Amino acid sequence: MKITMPPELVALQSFLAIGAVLFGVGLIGFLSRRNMIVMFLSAEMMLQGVSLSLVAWGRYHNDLGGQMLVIFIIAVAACEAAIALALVLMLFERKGNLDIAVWQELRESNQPPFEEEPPESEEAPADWPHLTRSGVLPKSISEKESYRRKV
Amino acid sequence: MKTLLLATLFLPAVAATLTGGGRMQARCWALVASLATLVGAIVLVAGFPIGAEDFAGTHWHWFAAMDKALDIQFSVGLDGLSLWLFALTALLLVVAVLVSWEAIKDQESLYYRFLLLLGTGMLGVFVARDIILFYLFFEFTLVPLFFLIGIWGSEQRRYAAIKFFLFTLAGSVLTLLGLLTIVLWDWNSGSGHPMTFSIPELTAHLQAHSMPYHLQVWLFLALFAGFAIKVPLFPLHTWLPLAHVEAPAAGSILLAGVLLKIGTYGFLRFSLPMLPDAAAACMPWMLWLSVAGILYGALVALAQTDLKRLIAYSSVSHLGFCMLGIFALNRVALQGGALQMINHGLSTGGLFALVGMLYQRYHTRRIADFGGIAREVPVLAFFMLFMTLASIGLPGLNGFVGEFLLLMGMFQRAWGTVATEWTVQYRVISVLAVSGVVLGAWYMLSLVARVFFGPLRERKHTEPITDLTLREVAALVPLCLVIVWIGVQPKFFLDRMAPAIDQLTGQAMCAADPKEELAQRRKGASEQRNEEMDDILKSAMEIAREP
Amino acid sequence: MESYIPKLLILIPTLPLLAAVVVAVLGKRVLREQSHWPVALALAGSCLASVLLIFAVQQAQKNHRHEHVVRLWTWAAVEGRGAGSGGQEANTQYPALITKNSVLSTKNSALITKNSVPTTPAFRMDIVLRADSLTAIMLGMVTFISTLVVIYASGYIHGDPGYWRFFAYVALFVFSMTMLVSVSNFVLLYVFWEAVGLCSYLLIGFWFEKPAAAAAGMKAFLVNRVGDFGFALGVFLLWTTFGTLDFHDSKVQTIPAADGHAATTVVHVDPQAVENPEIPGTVEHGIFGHWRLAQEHPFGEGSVVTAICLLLLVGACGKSAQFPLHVWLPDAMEGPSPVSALIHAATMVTAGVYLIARCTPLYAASLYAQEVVSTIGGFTALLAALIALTQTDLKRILAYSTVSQLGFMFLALGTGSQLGVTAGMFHLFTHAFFKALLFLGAGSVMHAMGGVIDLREFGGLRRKMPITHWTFLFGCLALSGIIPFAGFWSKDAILAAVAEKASEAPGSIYGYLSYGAMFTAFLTAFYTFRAYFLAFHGEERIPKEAGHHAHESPAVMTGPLVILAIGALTVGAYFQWTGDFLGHKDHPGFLMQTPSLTALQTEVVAEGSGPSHLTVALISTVVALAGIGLAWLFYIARRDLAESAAKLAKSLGLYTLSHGKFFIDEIDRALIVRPLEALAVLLAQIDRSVIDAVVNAFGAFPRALGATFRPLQGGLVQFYALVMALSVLALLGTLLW
Repeated sequence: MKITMPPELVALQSFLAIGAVLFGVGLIGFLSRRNMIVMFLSAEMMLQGVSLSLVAWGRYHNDLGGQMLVIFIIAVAACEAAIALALVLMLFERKGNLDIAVWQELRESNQPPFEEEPPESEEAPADWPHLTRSGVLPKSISEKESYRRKV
Repeated sequence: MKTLLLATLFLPAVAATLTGGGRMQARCWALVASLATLVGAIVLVAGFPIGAEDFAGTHWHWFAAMDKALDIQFSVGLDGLSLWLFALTALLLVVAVLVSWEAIKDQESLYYRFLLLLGTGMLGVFVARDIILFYLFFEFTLVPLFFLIGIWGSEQRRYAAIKFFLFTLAGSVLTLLGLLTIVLWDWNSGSGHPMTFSIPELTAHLQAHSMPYHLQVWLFLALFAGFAIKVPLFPLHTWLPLAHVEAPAAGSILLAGVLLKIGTYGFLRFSLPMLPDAAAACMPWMLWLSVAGILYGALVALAQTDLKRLIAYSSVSHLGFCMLGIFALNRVALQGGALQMINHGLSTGGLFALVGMLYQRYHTRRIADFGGIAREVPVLAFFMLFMTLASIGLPGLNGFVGEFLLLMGMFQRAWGTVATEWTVQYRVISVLAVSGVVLGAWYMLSLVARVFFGPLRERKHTEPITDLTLREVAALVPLCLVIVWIGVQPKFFLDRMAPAIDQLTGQAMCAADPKEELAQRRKGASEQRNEEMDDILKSAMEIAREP
Repeated sequence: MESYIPKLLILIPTLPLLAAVVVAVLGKRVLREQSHWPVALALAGSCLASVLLIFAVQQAQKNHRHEHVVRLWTWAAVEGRGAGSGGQEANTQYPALITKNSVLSTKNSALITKNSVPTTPAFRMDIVLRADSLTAIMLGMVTFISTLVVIYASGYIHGDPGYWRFFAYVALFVFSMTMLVSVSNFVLLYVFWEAVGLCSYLLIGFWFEKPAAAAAGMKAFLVNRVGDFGFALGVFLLWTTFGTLDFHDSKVQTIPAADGHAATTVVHVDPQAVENPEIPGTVEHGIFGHWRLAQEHPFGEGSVVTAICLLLLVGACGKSAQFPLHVWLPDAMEGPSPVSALIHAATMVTAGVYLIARCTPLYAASLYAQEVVSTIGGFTALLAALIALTQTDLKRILAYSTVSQLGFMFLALGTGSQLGVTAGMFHLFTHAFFKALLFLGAGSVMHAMGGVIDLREFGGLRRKMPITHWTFLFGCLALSGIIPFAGFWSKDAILAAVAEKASEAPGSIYGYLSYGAMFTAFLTAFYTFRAYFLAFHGEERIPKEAGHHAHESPAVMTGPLVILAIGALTVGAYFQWTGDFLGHKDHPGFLMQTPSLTALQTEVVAEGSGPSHLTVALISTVVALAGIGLAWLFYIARRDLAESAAKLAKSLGLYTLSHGKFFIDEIDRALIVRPLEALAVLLAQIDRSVIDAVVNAFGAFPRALGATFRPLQGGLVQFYALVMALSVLALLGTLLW
C-alpha cells in the first residue's frame, strides 16, 4: 500500500531526518572523542542539526520565526566559537594537551582520578609461516608508538 | 520606647559591622556596645508596665504579596515572658565580652563581630512577634555560634560545631514546617481573614477555634522536634556537652544561658498556647522525659571528669526542671518553670564564666588536675561556691525559688487534682523530681570539694597564679546581685511574668485538667466540638486573663 | 512592753546579719584580728533583745495575747484564679482543692458539678515572723549560747588566717538560726533550715585544706539534703492538702484601684485584725491558726497527715542527726570546737526537735507518727550511747552523746502529752547549756594539747587545767543527770513522760521505750565519766604536739566555761522550782502558752510531781550513780577490770560493733553511695556509646548514602555528557511511550 503524503510533509521529513542525523553524529562525536576541538566541532554539528529542524519546521508552518531564530543561533554560535576556541587555547596552554581527560577537577574530592589504562597488548600474532625477508627491514613500530592516543 | 527597643535589638549587630582594628580597639568597642545594650534593656525593664502584652512594639509590613493575603511583618514587642529573657541576654552578653577579654588571642575583631551578631540574633528571638521573623532569628543564632565554636574552640571544635549546627538545624526544619502548617490551617479554616504570620493574632485565632485534636498532636510533635533539641530534652541532649566542652568560655555562657532557653521559650510561646489540647495530652510523656532528664543529667554529671562536661550535664538536669514546671501545666509550676529559665541562665552562665577563668589560669579542665586551689584563688573560690549554691537551689538565692515553685506545682498536679489514670505516675514523677535536688547537691558540691578544698596539689608548671582581676569580678558581681535579688524578692520578677504566662497557657491549663468531655473529644478526633465545652474553655480563658 | 515585740523580733535577726555583712566586707582588710567585736556586740544585743522579748511575751500572755505575727514583705505571690478564690475554699478532705468557680457555675450548673475547672489555690508567701513562747525560748537560748561561744572563739581561733571568715560565718549562722525559730511559715522554715545547713557546711569545712574537714562538710550537707528531701515532700504535701503553708491565720483584703491600675492587696496577720469582722477580706486559715486548732479534727484522720508527719520527721532526723541520718554529726567534729559547741550541740541540731514541737498539733492527729517519733528517738538514743562507749576521740564521744540526747528529746516529743512536749523542750534548753559547756571544755583541752583530742594520747589534766577540769565535771554531772544539775530535771521529766505514756497505753511500744531510756541513762553516765576520768584523772600524760601550750586556757575562754557551768548547775533547778517551764498544777507554764500547744493543756490537769514521777526520779538517779560508779571502777580503781570487760565484749563481737559505729557508714556506702556511683558511671558510658551513637548513626546514614553515589562524580566531562544524553533519551522515551 502506498502512502501518499503531501509534498511539504515529505520535504519536512527529509529535512528532519538530515537534522536528526546531524545531531546524532554530533552527539556520538561529542561523547566519543576527547580532543577538545573535535568535541567542540561535534557540538556545533548538533547545533546545526537542531537549526536545520528549526528551519524545516519554520518552513512547514510558513512561519519565518524559525529561520529568524536560526540566523540568530548562527550569530550566537559564531561568538560562541570564538569564546570556545579561546578557552580551548587557554586550556591547552595550561597543560599542553588537548585531551579533555586532563581536566578532571570536577570530581568528588575523595574519588580517584580517571587513569587511562593502556590498551591490552594484543596477543602475539600466531606464528604464521612467512617468506624469507628481503630488502631492508622496515622500521618497526614500537609497541608504545603503535598505540596512538585517542585524540 | 519603640525606638529604644529597636535600637537595643540592632545595636550589637550595627556595632559588629563597625568593629575592627586591633585587639584593644575591638574588645573595647564590643564592651561599649554590649554595655549600651544592657542599659537599653534595663531601661526597658524599668519602664515595663505589669501586664503589658505588646510593650514597645513595632509592626511594619515587611513584605506582602498577593494583595496582602500573605502578610509577613517585621513585628517586635515585649511581653512579660520575653522581658526577662531579653534582659538576661543583654546581661550575659556583657559577661561574655568581659570573659573573652584576655582569653581570645587571635582574630579578635572577627571574634567580637560574631559575638555581637549572636547578641542581636538572641535578642531578636525573644522579641519577634511574627513567625517568619522568629524563625529568621532562631536560625540566625546558629551561624555566629557555629563560627565561635568552630574557630575559637578547643581540640574537637570542628566536630562539635558541625554536630551542634546539624542537630539543631534538623529539628528546627520540622519546627518551621509545623509553624507554617499552623499558619495555613488558620488561613484555610474559613474565618475569612487574610493569611497572618503574627504570633499574637494566631494565638488568639487558635484559642477561639482550636484545631482538630489529631492535627494538634502532629503539629505538637513537629514543634517538639525543634524545641526539644534546643532545650535539650533527654535523650536529644548529646550535642550539648560536646558543644559546651569545645566552645570558648563566652560561647558556653551564651549557649547555656540563652540559647537553651529558646527551646523552653518556644514551648511557652507556641506549643502551649496554639496547641493546648495536644500539650495537655502529651503532658505525661513530657513529664516523664523531663524527670528522666533531671535524674539522668544529674547522674551522668556525677561521673564526669571534665569541669565543663559536668556543668553541661547539670544543664540537662536543670532544664529538665524547667520543662517539668512548664508541663505540669498549672499556674504555680509554670511560674516556677519560667523563673527557672532565668535562674539557670544566671547561675550556669556564671559557672561557665568561672570555669573559663580557671582554664585561663591552670590550662586544664580536668577535675583531677585541681585540688585545694581555694588557698591560691580565694576570690574565685568564693564566686564558684556562690554560683554552685545558687545552682543547687540554696534558699535565699535564685535557684530555690524556681525549683520550689515548680515542684510545688508538680505536687499540685499529682496530689491536688481529681485522680485520673495518670495520677500514680504523676506522684512517682514528682517524688523522683525532688530526689533530683539531692543528686544536684551531690555532684556540684563534690566538684567544689575536689577542685577547691583539700591540700594544694603540686603542679608541674610554675607560673604564678593570680586571683581574679577587677575586670573578672566586674563580670561576676552583676550576676551575683541578680541572683540574690531573685532569691530575696522574686515577687518583682514573678509579677511581671505572671500575666503573660497566664494568657499564653490558660487554655492548656484548662485542657490539662481531667474532664470526661475532653476525653470523649480526643477519641473522636473530627467530631463536632462540644459547644458547652467550648464555653467552658472560653470563660476559663477570660478568668485566666483577669489580672 | 507588748508594743515592742515586733521591733524586738526584727532586731534579733537583723543585728547578726548586719554583723555578718560588716565582717564580710571589712574583715579581711580593716578589722582583721578585731573581727570578733562587731559579732560579739551584735550577738550580745540580740541576746538582750531576746531576754526582753521573753518578758514582753510573758506580759502579753497576761492579757491573753499568745501570738504575735509581724509581716515584713511579700516574697512571692501567684494569684489564684479569680479574685479571692483559693485557700479559704480549700477543702481539707483529700484529694483537696476542687473549688467551684463562680463564673463557670452561672453557665451550666449541672455540667459544672461534674466537670468543674480546678482552681489553683492562691500561692502567697510573705516574710512573716512570729513571737510566742516556743520562739521566745528558742531565741533566748540561741542568742545566749552564741554570745558566749563567740567570746570563747575569739580566744580559740586567735591567730588563724581565716579569723574574720569564722566570725562572718558564725554571725550568718546566728541570723539564720534566729530566723528559723521565728518565721511563721513552712517555706521560710525550709529556707532557713537549709541556710543553717549551709553555715554548718561552711564552718565544718572551715579548715578546708584538711581533706577530712572538707569531706565532713560535704557529708553533712548531703545527708541533710536527704533529710530536706523528706521535709520538702512534707511541705509540698501540706500545701496540696491544706492550701496554705502559713502557721498563722491571715486576712487578705483586695482593694480595687480606681484608675485601672492593678488592685492592691493588703494582708493582715495580726490575730486581732484577722478575727475582727469589721475588716473586710477573706481569711486564710493557717496550719496552726486559731480557726483550725479550734476544730474537732483539724487535720483529718487520714493517712495523709501520717504521711506528712513522717516526711517532716525525715527532715527532722536529718537536721537533728537521728538514725539513720545521724552519720554526719560525728564527722562534723572536724570543724573548730566552738562550732561544734554552738551548731552541732546546742542550736542547729535542735532545729529538728523544734520542728516537731512546733508541729505538735499535726503529730497529735496521727498516733502512728507519734510512735515512730518516739521509737526513732529511743532507738537513736540507745544506739548512739552504745557507740559512745568505745570511742577514743573526746569530741566524738560528745557528738554521739549529743545524738543520744537528741534521741531523748524525740522520745519525749513522741509521747504527745503536755508533759512530754515540755520535757523535750526543757531538755533541749538545759542540754544546750551543758553540752555547749562540754564541747567548749573539750575545745579548751584540745587547745592546750596542740590539737590532739584522742583520749589515748593524754590524761590526768586536772592539775594543769583546773578551771577546765571543774567546769567539765559540772557538764558531765549535768549530762549524767545527777541531782541538782540541770540535766537531772529535764531527763527526769522525759523519763516520767514516757513512763506515764506507757502506763496510759499498756502493751504499746512506750513500755519498751521506757526501759530502753532508763538503760540509756545508765550508759550515758558511764561513757560520760569514762571520758572524764580518762581525760582528767590518772597519771599526767601530755602529747608532744602540745609543746608549751599545755596550760590552762586564757580567761576569754574560761570565762564562758564558768558561766555555762553555773548555768548547767542552776537552770534546771531554777525552772523546776519556779515552774516557769514545766508548770504547776494550777499554772501551765510559759511554754504551754504557745498557741499550738494549748490544745494539749486540757488533756493533763492533775499532772505534776505525782508519785510515779518520784519513783522515776529515784530510779534514774540510782541508775546514773551506778553508771558513774562503774566508770570509776573501770578507769580509776581497777583498770584491769576494764580490759577484761573489753576482752569479753571483743570475744562476743560487741566491741567491734560499737567501735565500728555499727558500721552504718559502711552500710550506707555499700547500699547507697556505691550503687549510685556505679550507676552514674554506667549511664555516662551509655550516654557516649548508646545515645550518642544513635545520634551519630543518624548522621552516618546520609553519609553512607552519599558514598554509594559518589563514584558517579568522577570528574570526566564526557561521562557527565553521556549521562545527560541518556537521561534526555530516557525522558524522551517516557514522553513518547
